[in-house]
Amino acid sequence: MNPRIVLGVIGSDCHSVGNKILEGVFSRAGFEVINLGVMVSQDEFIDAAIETAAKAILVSSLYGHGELDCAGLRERCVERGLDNIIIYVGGNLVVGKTDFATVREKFENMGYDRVFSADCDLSEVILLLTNDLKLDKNE
Amino acid sequence: MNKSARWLISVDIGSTFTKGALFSEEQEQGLILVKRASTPTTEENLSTGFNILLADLRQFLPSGAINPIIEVSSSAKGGLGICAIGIVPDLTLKMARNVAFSAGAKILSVHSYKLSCKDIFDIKAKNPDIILFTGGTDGGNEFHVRHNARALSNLQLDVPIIFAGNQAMRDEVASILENKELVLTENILPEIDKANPEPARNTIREIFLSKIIHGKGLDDIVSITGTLPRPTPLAIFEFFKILPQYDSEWSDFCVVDIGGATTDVYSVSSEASMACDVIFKGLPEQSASRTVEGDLGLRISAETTAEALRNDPNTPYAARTIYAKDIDAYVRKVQTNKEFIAKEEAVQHFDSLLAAVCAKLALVRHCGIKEYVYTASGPVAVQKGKNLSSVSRIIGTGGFLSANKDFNLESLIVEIKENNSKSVLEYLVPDSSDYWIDNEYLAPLAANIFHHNPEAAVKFFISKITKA
Repeated sequence: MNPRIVLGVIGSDCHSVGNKILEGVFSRAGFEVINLGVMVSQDEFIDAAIETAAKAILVSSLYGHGELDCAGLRERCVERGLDNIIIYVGGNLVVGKTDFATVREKFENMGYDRVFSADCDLSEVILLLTNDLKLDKNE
Repeated sequence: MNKSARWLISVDIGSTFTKGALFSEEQEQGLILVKRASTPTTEENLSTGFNILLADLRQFLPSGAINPIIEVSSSAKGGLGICAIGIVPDLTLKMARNVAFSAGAKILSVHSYKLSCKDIFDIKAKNPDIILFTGGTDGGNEFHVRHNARALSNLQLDVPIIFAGNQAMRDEVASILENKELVLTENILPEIDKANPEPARNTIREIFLSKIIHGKGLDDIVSITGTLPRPTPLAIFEFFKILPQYDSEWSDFCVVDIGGATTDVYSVSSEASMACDVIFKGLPEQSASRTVEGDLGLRISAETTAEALRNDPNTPYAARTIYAKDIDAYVRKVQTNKEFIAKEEAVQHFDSLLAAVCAKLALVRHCGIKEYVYTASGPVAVQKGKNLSSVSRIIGTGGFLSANKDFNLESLIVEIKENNSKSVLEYLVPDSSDYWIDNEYLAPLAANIFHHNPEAAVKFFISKITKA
């Protein structure tokens, strides 16, 4: 049974190419990808995760305004019954040049399990996700 | 009269009147309407009124004529009522509503997430004909499905339950509900972006035929006709759905049917007219769809309609002020008098105002919405729901619209479009449509018999509607 993950580009962001690449890469790595496309709201991520009983939500943000769109997602998940779902976020998360460690800390404080930059190695992401899901199953 | 191939009698049993028509099917001329008749519906036993009507129509059969085919539709005794259960309101629950509407049913209640004792109590009080139990994509959500199955096992009501949810839960649901009348069918939303309404629609139809007919007193009628009845809105929906196949000029159209209790909107649009340069959100749309507004009608639902009328900014000032009390008094009177037909001009005017609001709101609710979102790369159009802007024809049917040729539906579309231009939300109603009137209210009668000769039925119906 392939693990299910919800994927999408959050907020008013309509960059779609990266999203298509991610769908392909994760599918080939053996995940069942529920790709919501672009301009996805927090509730849409959660709606899809509930109906499909997905184990993880992968949020992309490329236009630099991700911080505003991403804030509150973990709380919303808790409210809507997905307390411990794994949430990853990746992309160009802030405007301008900021030291990535600062960005990572900011988003981890918001409740994201892992934070990735736009030039991350996807095979690394896949490895981490596979491990996180295994641990999740063992809990 | 030429020796006709067949004689057909079409009967529609409404909540107030049982109406019928005798058709002859000629080799060359197609369907010919020979006689129409109508008699009050006899609620205690529907077959009484039915038999009176049949006798009336049979008189016009020439002696020695072959026995006519008799087809019946019914919306009497509340029509087909369904309680829908799903998980997320915008996903499986919405899909369940759409399926119920397209199966010709009325939604009595909707229930999302976990069913509570109150939900079970409410369902019992509504006394539905069918419970449509959905939730979870295939292989998806189990938690809510399990919980809801258990809740339903406590429902003390003898009602068929259709499970059209997460297929991975079939066995468990069957086991939990083993003492209930359960029918398992395919998931209406097997994947987030894949709608699958047909299996559940067919199951609803089958249950209607096997169970509900008996409960509504239609089985006497079945033994007379030898044919199986259908819910009126289903017959109409199936008929409009095939119209494009037999008349290419009618490939994109919608229909507004204003009744005493509800306003129904049907739309049929070819794939090409579903927008391509926008980002689409929400459930996938079907090319043929039906929505039902239970709060918009001219008699039973007059009170809620009048409230909508008061709140509509386009309602004439006088109607909101000087005549407001008169409208209220009128509404109170007709709510309990569904047979009332307005004779005086002033009162007819009230009906027109109410009808205007019914048509406008029902269309707006049926159509999708387009919103311009300002992004870092400029404005982007996001659409939710169906885009009917390229629909070029609207048919008006139902008692009121068939009888009131002067009703100006086109001006209502203009109002909606004017409101569109003033807001960031655009209701995707038809841009510029010709309004056609079903003058003789033939839609349900033609719909009942179309499957015997679709080409002739379509030709007949199109020949009878006139452009306003």
